[in-house]
Amino acid sequence: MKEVDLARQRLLGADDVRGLLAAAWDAYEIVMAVAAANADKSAGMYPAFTFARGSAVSGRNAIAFAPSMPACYAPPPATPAPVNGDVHEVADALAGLASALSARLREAAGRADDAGDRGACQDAAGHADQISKLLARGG
Amino acid sequence: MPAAVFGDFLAAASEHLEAAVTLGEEDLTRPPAVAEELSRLVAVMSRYCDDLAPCDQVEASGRDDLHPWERAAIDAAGALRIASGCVRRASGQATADQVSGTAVPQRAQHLAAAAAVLAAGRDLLHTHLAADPDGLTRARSEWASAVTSVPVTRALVHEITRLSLRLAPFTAWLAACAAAHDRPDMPSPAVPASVRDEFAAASQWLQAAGAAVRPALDADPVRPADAELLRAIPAVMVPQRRRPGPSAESVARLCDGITISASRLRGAMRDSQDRARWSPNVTSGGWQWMAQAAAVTAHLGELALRALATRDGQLANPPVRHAQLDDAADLMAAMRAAWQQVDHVWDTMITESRLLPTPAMTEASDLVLRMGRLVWDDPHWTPAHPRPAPMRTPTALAPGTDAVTTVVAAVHQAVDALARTAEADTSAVQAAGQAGRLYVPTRSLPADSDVPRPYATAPVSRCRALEEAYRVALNASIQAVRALDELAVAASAPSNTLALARAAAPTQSRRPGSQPPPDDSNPGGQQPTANPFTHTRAPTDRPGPVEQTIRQRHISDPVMLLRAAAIDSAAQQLLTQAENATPGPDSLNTPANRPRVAGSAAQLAAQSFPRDLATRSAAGQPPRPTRHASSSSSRVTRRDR
Repeated sequence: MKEVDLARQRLLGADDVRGLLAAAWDAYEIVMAVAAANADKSAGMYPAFTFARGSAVSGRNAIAFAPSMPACYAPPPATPAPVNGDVHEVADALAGLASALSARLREAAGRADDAGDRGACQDAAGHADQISKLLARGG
Repeated sequence: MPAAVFGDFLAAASEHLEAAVTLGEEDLTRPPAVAEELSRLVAVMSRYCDDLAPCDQVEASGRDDLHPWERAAIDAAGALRIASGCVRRASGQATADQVSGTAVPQRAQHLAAAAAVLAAGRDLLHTHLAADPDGLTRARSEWASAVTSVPVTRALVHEITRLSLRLAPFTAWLAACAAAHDRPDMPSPAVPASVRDEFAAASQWLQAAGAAVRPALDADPVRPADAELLRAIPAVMVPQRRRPGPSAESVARLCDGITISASRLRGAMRDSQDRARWSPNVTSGGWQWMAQAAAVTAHLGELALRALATRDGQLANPPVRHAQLDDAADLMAAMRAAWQQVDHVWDTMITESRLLPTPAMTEASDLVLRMGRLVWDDPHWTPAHPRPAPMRTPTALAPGTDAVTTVVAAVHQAVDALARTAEADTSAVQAAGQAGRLYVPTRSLPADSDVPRPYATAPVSRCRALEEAYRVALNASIQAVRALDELAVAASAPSNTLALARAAAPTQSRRPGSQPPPDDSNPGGQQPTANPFTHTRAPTDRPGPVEQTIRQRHISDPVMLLRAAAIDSAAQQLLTQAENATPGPDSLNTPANRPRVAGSAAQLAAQSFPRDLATRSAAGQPPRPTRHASSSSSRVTRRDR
């Protein structure tokens, strides 16, 4: 779960709206990839991972419309290395990342100058909350 | 409360009709007292057959492409229309004092009730179809293609003519009653002799309507499944939503809820193709969420079927076998994978507006929740990271054979709704692509693309890839639902009508206003609703010369009488056309036209219709058969042989 930890660190380290949007984009992509890779590993977790992946797509698309988001932001991230381990632990990790996403995006929404950025961050934070709800144990 | 189905109305109509024609040993009924209600009933029956007839008898006599049941519908419609006219005239000839002041006889009440419920049943069938501004019939529900199918046509014509055959002896009995009331020793006012004649004629035409289906029955018998399908047709009515609540639901109630959600989802998917072109409420987020819900529902359905499969060796008489359930579960797994692929393709495509909730999403959400609660032993299950709830044991899921059937039906309903979703969404995304509503991230485009925005209009190749993913999901969903069709039929599950409707849909019968099949020679591809031939008999509703001649020869074969009426009608049509084609007075007064006026074929033929006032003024010469009539006649003879 190295990728998840790295994404979380980038989020926490972003110090401006533009940097945060880029880090959030990557974090959503990580959630999408890890959730897709783990969905089939447990019958019980399939619905949670599937819908969490969908929320990650929606969150990423939301920040894509933020005016401060670079138009041609970095190339698509390489497919992350397979995340091995207990699917419940994977879900916990993703829930934690989503929780951090939500907090940082709401924070950015509070200090962004541009209304478009504020709206995009709020919207994306809502999707991050949804990921947390879906993947947090006992959600 | 279960939704009303056509069978409810048909059964009620049959019951009232039987009561009317078999009421106890009472005194002779005064025919005028029941004539009006009988007239209404026969008129409704006639309208049923009119709905099913792609053309009238005149046109039909020149066509060799009609299905035997289409021809039966045409012939029965013609006979019933005439019978209706006869009874209507009998009713009209009853004087007011003959019926006033007397209680409405029970027979009349039953006939009125039969007419009312039969009319309501026809309305029910019509809820599935609507005429568009061009006059073409459009489907309004997923049942529309079953309603217009050959199996339903078969069953419906058969049912209506069965009723007609029940009414024929009754109407003959009314004629006898009228004759009895015509006797001088009867205390009540006499019934005119013409009333008796009209009832007698009506009886013959009702018999003719019944006989009209004989060739069709020989060529293509009615199957029990046809009648079952006809009776199962529901009204287009979306059941009220039943929210998955906080309290635990039994397996049976969960299955019932799944059926409701599936029905509501099918309703929500109607017309989505048109909306996809323009509606901001139709979004990539919505489509992607539906794909996820479909994948999850397929996954849960697979788990349910595999659990049922383990009951095969445990129940005394399992309604379906282990292998069948496993095969269906495998197809559900394939369906899940296909929908998952659709979900992934949406990762890099978007519409100009993002995720907005839709009614379809609400229904699909209810479906997911109840399917999950069916599979997992947790009454509060949600797709969120589960509490450590085990799967419901197969014994708890299906304690007996009835429960196996109930669960199969629920999964069948869910998968059917998803197959409809796949069909609707496949068309909808295609429409959205054509309307330029799909976008892709700029960074996913070739490096030389100069688009200063994060998203650009999706290239055609990307739209095609999306459409292809949907087509795969559609095919996988259809395969899964067909496997469940077989399970439902094998288990006699209540959802087996979905299977019957799907099986019937490919064989369509033509109707007035129906769209021609794709290979039809009509290049415009559209047919107007208005049928140029709407009446078999002349507008006077009186027998024409050929029919009169047949009757004078004491021939009572109903099919031959029916053909005779068709020939008379053809001649009448010809007359009308000739009348319309007659040049104005100025142009008539030319040397070339003058000799033809007095002895035109139209006027000569018109003399054969002495009651037709429009042409009577030119009468004066004896009738003689037209060439058209004689050729039609030989065709009739060949067919009746």
